[in-house]
Amino acid sequence: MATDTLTKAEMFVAQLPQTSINRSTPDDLPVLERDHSATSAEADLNERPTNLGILGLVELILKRRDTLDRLIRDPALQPILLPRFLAISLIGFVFFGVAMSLVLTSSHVWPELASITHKLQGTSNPLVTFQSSAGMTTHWWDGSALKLTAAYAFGLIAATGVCLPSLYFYGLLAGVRMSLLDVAVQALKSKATSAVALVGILPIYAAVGMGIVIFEAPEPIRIGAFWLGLILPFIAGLWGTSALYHSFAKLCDTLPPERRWDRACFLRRLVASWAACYTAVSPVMIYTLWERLAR
Amino acid sequence: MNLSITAIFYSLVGAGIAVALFLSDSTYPRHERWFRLLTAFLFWPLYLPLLLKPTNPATPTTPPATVPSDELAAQIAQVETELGQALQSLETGTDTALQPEHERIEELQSAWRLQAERIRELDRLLAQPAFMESTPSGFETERAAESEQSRQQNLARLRAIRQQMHQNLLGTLAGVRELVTRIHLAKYTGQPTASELIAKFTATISGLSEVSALPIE
Repeated sequence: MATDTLTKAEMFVAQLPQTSINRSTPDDLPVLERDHSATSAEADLNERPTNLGILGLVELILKRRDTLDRLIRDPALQPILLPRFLAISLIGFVFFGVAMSLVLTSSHVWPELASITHKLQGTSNPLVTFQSSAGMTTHWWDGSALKLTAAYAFGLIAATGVCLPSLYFYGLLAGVRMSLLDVAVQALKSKATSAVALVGILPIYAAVGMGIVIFEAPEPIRIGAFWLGLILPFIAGLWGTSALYHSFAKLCDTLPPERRWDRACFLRRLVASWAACYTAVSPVMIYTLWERLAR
Repeated sequence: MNLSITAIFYSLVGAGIAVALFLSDSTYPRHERWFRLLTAFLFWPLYLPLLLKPTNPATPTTPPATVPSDELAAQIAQVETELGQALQSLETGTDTALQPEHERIEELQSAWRLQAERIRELDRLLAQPAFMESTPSGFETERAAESEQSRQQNLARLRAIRQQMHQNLLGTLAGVRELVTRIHLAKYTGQPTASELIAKFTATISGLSEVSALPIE
């Protein structure tokens, strides 16, 4: 109990502003205004969550990101949080796969993928073509829906694993003190944030998809809506990128004060670069897996 | 190397890491262990840092028997935290004049920890049945009665010393907490100035060191 109280005290003091108020004469003492950020931080610490299950973490992602950012820096919690963030990500991406399959099969179309190798060799076929299909259940029974879901769920997370060393290297380059486990947890928290955002967007997209089917929208709009669906995880990924960006900005408190500002700018740029790198890797990963599974 | 060969190697490494992870942590619930096994097989690059995480050599494998966890220790830890944070906040500014006082602060911290340990020793001693307060009665010889009376007086003196040490220590800790507020006040108002603060600081530490000294009877 005492240790817990002390940890809270330390964390609270760490939240206090480090800049001093301008020195003034004794007759002109500045009025110390109530520091609302410190108060909110204290309140935040006082209501430290005890539920670190899947739903508790989703709630933290949605409502209390600052608290979550502090929690994921606790080395004792990292081994617990890592698989749970992974579980949230997988659940979100599986939801997406099922919803996307539902929209496609309801529209009686299914994407046909061309081989990247053939495309690189100069064939003029587009990489993705939306072919008409006979029945609504055909692609559910032949495993196509499962392949789409697996390609997205595996591809989006595996791409994080591929890009993980570069994020670690970028952190070291900026001078931030963090272990590879810190980086893995940060990256997975970002992925879980994307997955939660994706699940939030999905009902809107599903409504749009169903509207297209019901009102028999023209072909270009239908194709546009299908493409929008396929890139939906990347749109939701912007939330994850934003979460990662802000988490890394907070890690700058491990830097020496005199170099903090310059390094913080550098670190933010590196995180943005990493996000761009990830955005390039993950579609290739998803496409390769999906095309290979669909053969 | 085509995709199939890559997948085989990936799976082999994944299987190794998944099994290692499964065997390394038996504290998690069964369903979580199986989830970790499965996902570690599929996403082993994410689990590899977890497996390679250095186990802290400082982490004791047995419950720490010698580390005190009583109220006194909690108070000392609280004061040390507050003092450390206050000094740190000064160092983040331009004031580095307090740097030479660090050694004295460390000496002071050692002194009050030592004093707390002595109080605990006395507590353990006085808690023994033989050292409990009792009314002397039924002695056959006068000498035995005198010895018992003298013994009771010594025990009362031990209790008084314990009480005095406890009060001194609490006074020291309260003084340091006051000092901490002085440091914060100086930081935010500029009063007292750095030189005045150092003078106060030195005087307070000297005073506290004297107070922290064990009572000599």
